Amino acid sequence: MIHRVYAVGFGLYFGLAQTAYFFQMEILLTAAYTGFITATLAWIGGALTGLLMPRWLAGEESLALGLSAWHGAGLAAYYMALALLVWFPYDFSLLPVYCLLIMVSGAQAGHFFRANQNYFPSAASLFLMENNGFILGWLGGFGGFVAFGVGFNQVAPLALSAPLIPILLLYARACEASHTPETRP
Amino acid sequence: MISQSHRITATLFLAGFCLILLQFFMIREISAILRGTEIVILLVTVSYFAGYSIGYYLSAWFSLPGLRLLAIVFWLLHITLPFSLRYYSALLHEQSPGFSFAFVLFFAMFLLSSFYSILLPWFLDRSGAGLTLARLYGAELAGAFFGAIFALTMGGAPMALPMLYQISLAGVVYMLLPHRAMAAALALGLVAYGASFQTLERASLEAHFIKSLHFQKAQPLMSVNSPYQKVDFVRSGLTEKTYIFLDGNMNFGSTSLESFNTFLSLLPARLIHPKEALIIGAGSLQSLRNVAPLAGHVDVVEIDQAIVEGSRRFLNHINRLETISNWSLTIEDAKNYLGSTAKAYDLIIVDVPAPLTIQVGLLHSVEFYSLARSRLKPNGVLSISLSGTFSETAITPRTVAAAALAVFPQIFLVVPNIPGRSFIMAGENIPFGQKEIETESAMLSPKKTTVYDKAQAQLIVGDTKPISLSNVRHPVVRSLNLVRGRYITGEAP
Repeated sequence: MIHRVYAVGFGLYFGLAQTAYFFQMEILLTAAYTGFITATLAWIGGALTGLLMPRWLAGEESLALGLSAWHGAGLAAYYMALALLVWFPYDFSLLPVYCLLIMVSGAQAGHFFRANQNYFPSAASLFLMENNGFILGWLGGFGGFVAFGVGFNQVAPLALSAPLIPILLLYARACEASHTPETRP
Repeated sequence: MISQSHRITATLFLAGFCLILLQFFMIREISAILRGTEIVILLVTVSYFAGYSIGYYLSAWFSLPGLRLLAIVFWLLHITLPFSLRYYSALLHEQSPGFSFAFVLFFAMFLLSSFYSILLPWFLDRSGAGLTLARLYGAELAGAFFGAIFALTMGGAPMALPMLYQISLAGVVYMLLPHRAMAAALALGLVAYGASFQTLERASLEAHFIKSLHFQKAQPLMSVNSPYQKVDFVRSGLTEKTYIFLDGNMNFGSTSLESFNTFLSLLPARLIHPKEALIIGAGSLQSLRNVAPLAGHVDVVEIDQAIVEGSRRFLNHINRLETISNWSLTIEDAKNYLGSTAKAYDLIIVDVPAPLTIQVGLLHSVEFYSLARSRLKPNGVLSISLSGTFSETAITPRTVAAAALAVFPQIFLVVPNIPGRSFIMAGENIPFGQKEIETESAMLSPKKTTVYDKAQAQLIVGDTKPISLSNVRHPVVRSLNLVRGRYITGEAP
């Protein structure tokens, strides 16, 4: 049960973070495709980095520590991007910085799959749960922005992290308590 | 001979490539078929992502022969895209727009992305050592990365993305069925697709315009996926008029739209004779033709290069660009342009579509009008359309007017007796009065024009909330009403 809640929860977070990045960049930087391509490529590039990063950077010694650290990094990157967008609206010279920050958030998504692959009964179940959460997050991010405007983007990723962190810790404890990761069929 | 592990990695790379191409060209195609508004784009995108979940869920059910059979069926279906979808939806639309809507969403959910998302977990859950999640998911993400670059750089060429998609899909199918006969069949399919593309593209677009958009005869002139939207230029075979469609919604073409430009751009230009004018949104470039002879210099800011190219090629009889020399074009987002330019203008014309999406809605917001105000000279004027007839019952015109009323100390609301048309001229110290507007309007149009001042407009607008960064509900609600009217109740055209 905790596995499902955890995967759906973080899928929700990734969906919400993507929509929030997209809306904030569109409003305070540009709606032109330079902004969109930066966000898209940086997120994918970040996810690739998260998948392929060295073991020490992935924090594989402790599941809880690795997952929490990357969640913290992704969240910090999001709020740094948000602050820069507010302080320096329409400033294209900061595009490489936004690219880097979005990559860090994307790296969390890549790291998520890498770190959790052995704790789910199958890759299909991990991807399914995460994607279901992603769709909910995408809808939530859209609906929240429509209902509450930019204020939602400023609050939601942090607010969602409040329940996600205990879920993450419970999940990591459950995985580590079982000593050996579940083997795939 | 490539190894099994390399073959699987290559399959997933191509799957990632295909998925991102689909996201760019088919989602846009589907949105245009359903006449993309915010809710349509949302539903189509969610359906596409739901297809991933369906694929992940189904991956455990398939044996290798089953997966191979599915690959062939999927290829036979997708090699007919986007033409077959246009035909099916057009035929269904004729019977019932609601059926057509449901069918297209069903297609997006079950038959667009689901096959590709079966592959990654299928290989991961069945592969032996060496094929890690990092390697295979990494390959899929790398494919998506390169796919995004191709999609964004080649989208303007009509045949590029569909052809690239078909080649990549053929690659996926061949990797799953690496036989000579399959290679020959795939190659034959690609040749047939390439050879018949232009004919099928034209014929299926004609069917779409005739059956879904009620043209009696249609001649598609240009149809491209720009980075922002599906841009179609089409000529009516009956009236010979040229129309612009953006994501399936008419942007230019009707007589009412021509009088739109008369009041939006020609009227304020004649009243001001601006030294420096700015037009936000190129459209047909008719506004430029209206303003340029009366202005010192005109800057045109348009986000979508494809619209400008189409208007240059197919609407020359409207814009007569060869006769205009005092203008310059900037391809950029209007918010970014206004936020970063130091130039001040005598006249700013906002020639953008009605707020049917959040992105366009933000160009009708309090913050955007404030930005525009900061770029006006002391006697400068902002001219905007209210996207409908101004009245106590019309929500969109009242919402757009509310934003202008919140930002500008002086306003004239101009309502010609033309269905669906009303305008605002706003500024800090407008260098003309109500009387001059009425006189000039009478010279431009035989229809009676009513002009309201700020106090009168405020009474009609009442407590309607404007679009702002903290309130973007209006485009979504309007879009929802349009979808309901077009596909459920049949009340909207």
